[in-house]
Amino acid sequence: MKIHLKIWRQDNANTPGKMVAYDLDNLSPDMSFLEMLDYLNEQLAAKGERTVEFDHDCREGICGQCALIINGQAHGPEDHYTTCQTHLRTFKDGETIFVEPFRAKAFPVLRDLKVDRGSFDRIIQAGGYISAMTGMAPEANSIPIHHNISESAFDSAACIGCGACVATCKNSSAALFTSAKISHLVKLPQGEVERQERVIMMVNQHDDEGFGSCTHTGACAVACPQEVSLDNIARMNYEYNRALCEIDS
Amino acid sequence: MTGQKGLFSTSVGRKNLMAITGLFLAFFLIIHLLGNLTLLFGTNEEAMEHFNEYSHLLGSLTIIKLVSYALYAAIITHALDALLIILKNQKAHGDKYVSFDASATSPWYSRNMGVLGSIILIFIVLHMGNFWAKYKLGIGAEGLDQFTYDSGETGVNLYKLVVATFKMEWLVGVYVISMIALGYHLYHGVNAATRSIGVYHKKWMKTMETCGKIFAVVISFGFAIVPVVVYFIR
Ligand code: HEM
Ligand code: FES
Repeated sequence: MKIHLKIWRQDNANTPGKMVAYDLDNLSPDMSFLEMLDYLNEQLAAKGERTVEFDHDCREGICGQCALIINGQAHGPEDHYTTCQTHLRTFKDGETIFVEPFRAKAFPVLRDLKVDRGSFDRIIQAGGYISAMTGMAPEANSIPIHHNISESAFDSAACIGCGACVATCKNSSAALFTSAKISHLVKLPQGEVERQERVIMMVNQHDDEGFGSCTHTGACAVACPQEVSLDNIARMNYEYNRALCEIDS
Repeated sequence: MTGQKGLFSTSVGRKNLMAITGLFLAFFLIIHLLGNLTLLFGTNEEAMEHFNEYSHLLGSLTIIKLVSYALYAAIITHALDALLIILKNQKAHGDKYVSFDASATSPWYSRNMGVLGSIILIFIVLHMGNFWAKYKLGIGAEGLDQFTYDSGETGVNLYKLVVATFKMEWLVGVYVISMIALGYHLYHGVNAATRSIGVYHKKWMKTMETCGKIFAVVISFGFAIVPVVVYFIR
């Protein structure tokens, strides 16, 4: 099949970028979107041009590295898919596809389609940890946890940190990411020790990184490849208010 | 605790303020609507009697006076906080996307709460000019009909003022359009507010979402119907 690409090209964070058109032919509908970009890059390399830079790692939907805005939607037109799991059969033969980096003040573009998502790491560092005994690894089943609770914590923990929520949010808010990390730990007994300070530190870090305020449009949860629920945000807000009431008592 | 910020200064805190003021305003709408509905029932004389006595009663209660000051404060706080949040959120944006499909992931009214709110704000100013300024402040009240209450006091005949005001077709139109904006604002807002203050229980979230949507439809329809019916039957 044939695809007309319009790809964001930018040399570095300090130079302006622009959309550049590339036409590809002889593509298989079973190619993944990233394989198509590899194919394009081989052609560019053969011509001696600079290849298109984009993030990727596992290419099986689990690492959260791949991150593209494809035709105006994070990870492409299908809900709850990563870019690497998007295939050309999703598109029409001869279609024009716009490819852009995830955009937010807190996700500066490094080059082409690659952005710096270090702000997410710093939110995790601010409170995404638990206290644990040193020494031997503890017996895995020593703390009984109800099945429903462990499943619910796992649903929150499913977040792979790709940033599609931020890229899609009209407020560039990282509320879904931050709340998923907070909920995942607060739902489990292991997270109890840092319960109050975790939510306060992580929300503060979220704000300091320059992310916006959530207005519950729900766009993040639709774009999320892992179907992380909007309910996590309500849980974060509850934990935040509760922590403010408890913290000095 | 290190790095702790004030109750209303973080992204979560700001939304708390938005939600509390918004829910307070939404609660007030129920009382306001009940009063307005007296305009629709009975003969012209009965409606005049009920509506004027009801308004007078409200105006004479200290608690209602206090609530009205709280309402002015809530409107101003809600609108200013909205402005602060919108400005801060705009600063969080990166460069604009060349192609972006916002409608694929969220409904339009959820993305335009500021626009809907601005329509409501303009409406509130117009609405207070139509009635409150004349009735309470006496601005532009010269030559208006007077009404004698059961208590023997007299005041502007609010019923006649309302009926005369709603004889202007364009104004009826403006009221109806504003109430549609209010409806959409509440359709998103009530549900958002419950989440902002941290109602996270699955069952309660579902219940509040449904109640919020019904509330939005009933309230906006109720308010919109009053000027239309008054125009035709009074
Ligand atoms: C004075 C003019 C008004 C302006 C400028 C305004 C603006 C806004 C904005 C920008 C939001 C936040 C957007 C979002 O959460 O997506 C909002 C939320 C809300 N507004 Fe208003 N609004 C106004 C009047 C009202 C009135 C009269 C009511 C009630 C009848 C109301 C009820 C609400 C509620 C319940 C929310 C949800 C709060 C939340 O999301 O946490 N607003 N408003
Ligand atoms: S490359 Fe790992 S999730 Fe797409």
